Amino acid sequence: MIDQHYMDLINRKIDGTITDRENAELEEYLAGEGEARRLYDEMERLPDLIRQLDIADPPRDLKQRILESVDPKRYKSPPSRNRLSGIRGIFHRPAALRYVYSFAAGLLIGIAVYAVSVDNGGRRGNLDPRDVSGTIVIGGETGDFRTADRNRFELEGIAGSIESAVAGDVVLIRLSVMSAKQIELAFEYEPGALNFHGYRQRVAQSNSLEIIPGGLQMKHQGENEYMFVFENGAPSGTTVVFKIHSGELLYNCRIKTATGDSKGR
Amino acid sequence: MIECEDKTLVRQCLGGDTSAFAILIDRYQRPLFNTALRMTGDYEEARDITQSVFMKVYQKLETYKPEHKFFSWIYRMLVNESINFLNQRDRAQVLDPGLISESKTPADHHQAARLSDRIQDALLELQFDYRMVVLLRYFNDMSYKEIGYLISVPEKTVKSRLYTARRLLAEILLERGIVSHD
Repeated sequence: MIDQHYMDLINRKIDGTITDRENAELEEYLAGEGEARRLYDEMERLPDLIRQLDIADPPRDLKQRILESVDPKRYKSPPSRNRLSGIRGIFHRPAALRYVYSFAAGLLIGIAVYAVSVDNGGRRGNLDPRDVSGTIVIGGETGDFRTADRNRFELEGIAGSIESAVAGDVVLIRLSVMSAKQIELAFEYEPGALNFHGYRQRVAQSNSLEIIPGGLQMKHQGENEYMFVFENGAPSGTTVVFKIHSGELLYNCRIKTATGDSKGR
Repeated sequence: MIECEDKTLVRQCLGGDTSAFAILIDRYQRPLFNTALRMTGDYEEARDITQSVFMKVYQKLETYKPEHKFFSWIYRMLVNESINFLNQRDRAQVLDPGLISESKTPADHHQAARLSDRIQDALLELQFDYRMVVLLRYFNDMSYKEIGYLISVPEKTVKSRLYTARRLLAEILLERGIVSHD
């Protein structure tokens, strides 16, 4: 039977919270107590033993079973009346929103035109619309136009969304952001993995956009929408980290620029 | 493709985007299933527990508080669900031999599985409270604080349970001859 005092010391030694003096006391005790030594050795290797437990694959149908067991309409947002009414509704919105939608529509057309018309060593000249990866979904259940990868953010005094589209080697990142205070927006990527081609903004304003090795950064205040155009430098795509700073890091997300089968996840 | 944080995915789910929930399943089904498997020692039961946890997660998504890690929140549900399952039946049974990962052949596993099964057998001899803290600490690499949150007890209770669990488990392993040279 091991004295409780020494058992406490053993546990503290395993946890790494024992003092030098206590450690010396424990070592002296263990040197003279074979049974205690064996138990200590066994307890010490327990973490490694537990980590040797096999990692089993979940049943292949588990995900499907879960998805079938939940009610997909539980959190459904109210649907539009029909496709046309959704589009017609845009023209009954306040003027500012109409501009936003017009801008977005123009931007989408611009994306398509840019993707198929810009020649870069003949590579994009061969762009086939079938190469467009599935980031833009047209006509969901609600009949709206949307982007599958849209990621919304809501922070204190800052809101917006970011979405990406990849067509051939063209990478487009659309950023919509509203911030009462000045913030810094940054895109970071491996140098050479992406080439920045330019950007457009809905409302022309000076934002000190800076291109730095492995990224770009700019200041932002107020409400605006941006479209950034990059060229994929790596055939298998890369990862762009989007960050919002204001003295400290407020938000970040990762954007994968791979297309087709090489897409992550 | 944009990799979202858990909290963002939760917000998207609440906005009616079921595909965001599918991403959360992809992200967490493996660790949850494996923890349930080690807690129960039963493949079918681990599957049912994992499925049940995800169903409850979906149903209670509105109650999730973003100040907690989503990961901790679903683990807490896993712990509660495992307790419910084990309360319903006496789970003092031995490990199902079919437990080994489907992706590996029995030959690949022969040596390792033997040890793994014996460790699992020893774990199943512990009372559930002790088994749980050992697994959460070493199998899931959680801190005392995180475990305390998951099982709703103070940190010092976690520590004292783990101390006892370690001693008991070491004694079982020694008694069975599963020693360091195994």
